[in-house]
Amino acid sequence: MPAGGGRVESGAGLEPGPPPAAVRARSNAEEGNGRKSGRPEAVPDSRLPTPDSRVFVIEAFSLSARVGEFRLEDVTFTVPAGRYGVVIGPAGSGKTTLLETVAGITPQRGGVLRLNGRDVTGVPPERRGVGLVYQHGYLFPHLSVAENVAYGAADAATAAAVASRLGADALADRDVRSLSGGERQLVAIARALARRPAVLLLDEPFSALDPRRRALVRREVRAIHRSWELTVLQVTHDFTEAGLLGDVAILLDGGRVLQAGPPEDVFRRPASPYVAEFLGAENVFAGTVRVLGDAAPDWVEGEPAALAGGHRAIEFQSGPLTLYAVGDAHAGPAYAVIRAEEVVLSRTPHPSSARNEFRGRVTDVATLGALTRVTVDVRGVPIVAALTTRSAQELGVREGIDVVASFKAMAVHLC
Amino acid sequence: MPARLPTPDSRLPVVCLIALLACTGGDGKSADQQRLVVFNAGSLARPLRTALDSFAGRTGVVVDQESAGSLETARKLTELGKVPDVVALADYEVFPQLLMPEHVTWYARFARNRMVLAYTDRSKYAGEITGDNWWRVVTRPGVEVGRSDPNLDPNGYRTLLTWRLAERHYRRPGLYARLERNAPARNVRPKEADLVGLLQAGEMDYVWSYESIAQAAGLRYVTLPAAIDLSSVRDSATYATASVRVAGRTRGDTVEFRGQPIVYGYSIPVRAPHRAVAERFVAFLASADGRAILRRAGLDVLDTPAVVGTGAPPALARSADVNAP
Amino acid sequence: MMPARPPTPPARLPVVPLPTPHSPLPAVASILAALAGSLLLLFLVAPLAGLVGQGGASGVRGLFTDGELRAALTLTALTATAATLLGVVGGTPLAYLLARSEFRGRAVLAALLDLPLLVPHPVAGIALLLVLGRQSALGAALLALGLRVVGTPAGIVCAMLFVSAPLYVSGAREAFARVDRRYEAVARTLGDSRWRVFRRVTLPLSGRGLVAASVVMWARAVSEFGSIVIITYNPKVASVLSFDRFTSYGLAEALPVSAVLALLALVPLTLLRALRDEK
Repeated sequence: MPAGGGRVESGAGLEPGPPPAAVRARSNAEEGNGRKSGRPEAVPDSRLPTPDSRVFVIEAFSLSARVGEFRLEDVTFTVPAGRYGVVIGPAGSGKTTLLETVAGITPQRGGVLRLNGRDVTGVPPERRGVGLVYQHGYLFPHLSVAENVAYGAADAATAAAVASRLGADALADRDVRSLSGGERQLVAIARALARRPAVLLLDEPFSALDPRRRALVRREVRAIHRSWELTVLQVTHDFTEAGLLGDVAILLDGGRVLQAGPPEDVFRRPASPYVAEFLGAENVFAGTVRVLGDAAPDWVEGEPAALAGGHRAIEFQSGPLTLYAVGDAHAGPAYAVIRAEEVVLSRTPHPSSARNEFRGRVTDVATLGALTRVTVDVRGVPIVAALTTRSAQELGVREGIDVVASFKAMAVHLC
Repeated sequence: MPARLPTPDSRLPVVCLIALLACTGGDGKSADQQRLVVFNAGSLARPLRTALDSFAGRTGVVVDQESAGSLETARKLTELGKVPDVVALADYEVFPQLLMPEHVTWYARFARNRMVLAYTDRSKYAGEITGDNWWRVVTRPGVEVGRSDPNLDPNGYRTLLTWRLAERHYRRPGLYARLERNAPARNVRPKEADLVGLLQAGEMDYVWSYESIAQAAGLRYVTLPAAIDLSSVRDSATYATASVRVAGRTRGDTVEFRGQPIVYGYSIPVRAPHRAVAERFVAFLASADGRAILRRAGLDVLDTPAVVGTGAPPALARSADVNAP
Repeated sequence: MMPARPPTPPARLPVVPLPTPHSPLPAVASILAALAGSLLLLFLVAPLAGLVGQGGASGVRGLFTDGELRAALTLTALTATAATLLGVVGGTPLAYLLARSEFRGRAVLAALLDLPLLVPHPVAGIALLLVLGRQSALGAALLALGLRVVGTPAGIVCAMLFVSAPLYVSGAREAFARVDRRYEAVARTLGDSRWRVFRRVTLPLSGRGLVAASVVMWARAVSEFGSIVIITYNPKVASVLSFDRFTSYGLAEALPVSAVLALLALVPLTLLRALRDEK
């Protein structure tokens, strides 16, 4: 079954492996939410991370900004050189404001922003070396398509090359007003890339494209991103796309960063139940942690590597359910998050390394294309499992039948 | 079949129709009976205002007063067909020249005035100007003198006449030109009322005006010799030696005005809408009370109005003496 | 397995009659609206049509024969144009500021800029006198330099500028506001400085609106009378001349001047129309 939120290789594969050392950005959730830095405030030098343009191209530290109703508060994240950053958040969370602040269009009220190791506070947008593509293109209506692409182009050759890669050259003589939404997006991306920026900022750039074009443009953008070693920061509300594209995921809500890091970290190990629900984790339980003794319980034999990292075996009590997890949580109240994709369904219990196994009755089956979500009632607690529709059909899953839901101890994330 | 409810917007057109009809209806005749419409020259505005207020207080009549230049006022009758109950002008000559016999058949001369030089404390050389040296002072360089348009306002051409008379009186050939140099076209305004504002704003040092206006506005002014200020009937012959040409009835025409004492006149037009009320008002103006009110407002009122023409109300004709000043 | 014969057509659906309008009164409302509109149109057009009809011919003839009329029309055109140019130069940055920047006193500034429109025209003339007259600091300084304002065409330009500039500023502000900020934002990232963005993006996109606003300003300047009479009566602009002719000679002489003015007014109106239609 597909692992949700993981990186899927597409086209020419990207080198697997985590980003270079010491990159894991600090999550504000770990720091607690008490700090308010809405007032413009000088950040004491001792707290600043040292600029390292070899590693980071975009560094934001305690950034704050305000545009009318939209605000950013204490935003901190980094995107390494040549990497793809993805900003995820609901509407109104300040995603576009974030891009505009990085571009310099919205002045920052506090914090530090560095691009390529250079502090760009107060530097006007035209000197930041950023490219910006809005959600609806914003092609200049008084210029032709060719003129749009050439507007800020580094040189004619680059403009032509980019245009042909994205398929914008076929539209060269068309009037901007006659283009469809998808064609406009295409030209807008070409226009931004023609300038050869060091950083590309994209605001939901593929949303207007039809699936065929979306795949093509996404592929070409990624190809250009790799061959030019472009650093990209893209806003999206599509979690799948985020997982597909991103090396760094930044969760934004209400102008604050909830969590930042590699997408799989964020998806699998949400920093708080709120983040978990935010990312669509269906199984979030409140309960109590009890750390089991140092003696390795027999079920950990299947997971020696986990214990080697200093993690403990944990018993998590949530209502009538007892879950077993592996982690480094402390005793006391906590939340347990299990992604629906990690829950395995079968008609009968069968031996597996999954330590958590429950019998229950199916209360809901929701099929959406290739994925089916099955809700199982286990002693009054609903557990959601996600499986391929084909598997669901082969299992004969339907409402009212009894099934066994199981998941590994490693799949239980505590926060 | 669903029951038909009267919807709000179906009532609206009906309401509009009713409102429209209500506005056009109504009988205004009874309200008109107690109205008095007066057209007067600008320089009579204040004195007549006080007289009208008093009259309205005594009789309860509603008064409409319109002030304008004398010629402009006359034009309202001759060109626009707007007919008041009483028309009062700063130049009695306009009656025979423009308004008789079609619009009025008589007029009464009732008050006098004189040309003065009005000024303020801020005016240049305000400390040293007198009735004897004024013509030296206002011809000094840098002194701004204002006057009204001779083609629109009797005050305007009377100013020119005064200059002519001054040239002769002080035996200074070329004085007219020098006086004009300090009162060029850019210092000309349509009515004397505009001049007072400019004087008070400090834009002008001196303005040519009437004594009544200067008094009413609380301005300082220079009293000129009687031989030149068009005030006295005794000097009529002297005044008549000066003349100016201004625009006539039609463009391209000119008309000549000879120096004459400044005398105000009023009349009740032939087609006055409220004749009875007008006659009561005119009688009030001629009465002792009316004259006292006008004098207090700065107007030099004749003891008895001098009536010219036929058809004047009996109240006036009784005290008529054609040759009174 | 494909069926051997075509499927039977579905049973005929019952025909549902369209609802008939059951109240005649909405039609009455439409008639009233049309009536009101026609009356207003008539009210606006008839007087001018009468003017041109009665005085148009002699007015046009006067253009060739009447030197005073020609001088007044020329003066009007020159001063109105000068005032409009000054208004555009000063008003465009103001309008851009109002459209783009968000600062505390923005509403107050906008209200202040609209004030000259509310002031009665003679009052405007008096207000200008206090600032430009020879007793004022500015007026005295200018006079010392040999520049006289009151009583000269410069004064006419000032009066026109005062009463008509607010119209340009509000029109230009609208034109700028209609240009989405994001166009400018994108252009900045594409390498344009603030000024270059204005020149290459904002101006082309708002240009038509700006021209329309300046035409409105010009028309207002041409028609001004009350404040000009106070500041500069001589030399006479067309509005002052027509009043002058009316007072001196009566209707017959005033009509041609007024008719020619009305005909001239068609020039900016046609311009405006042409601009709007181009869209």
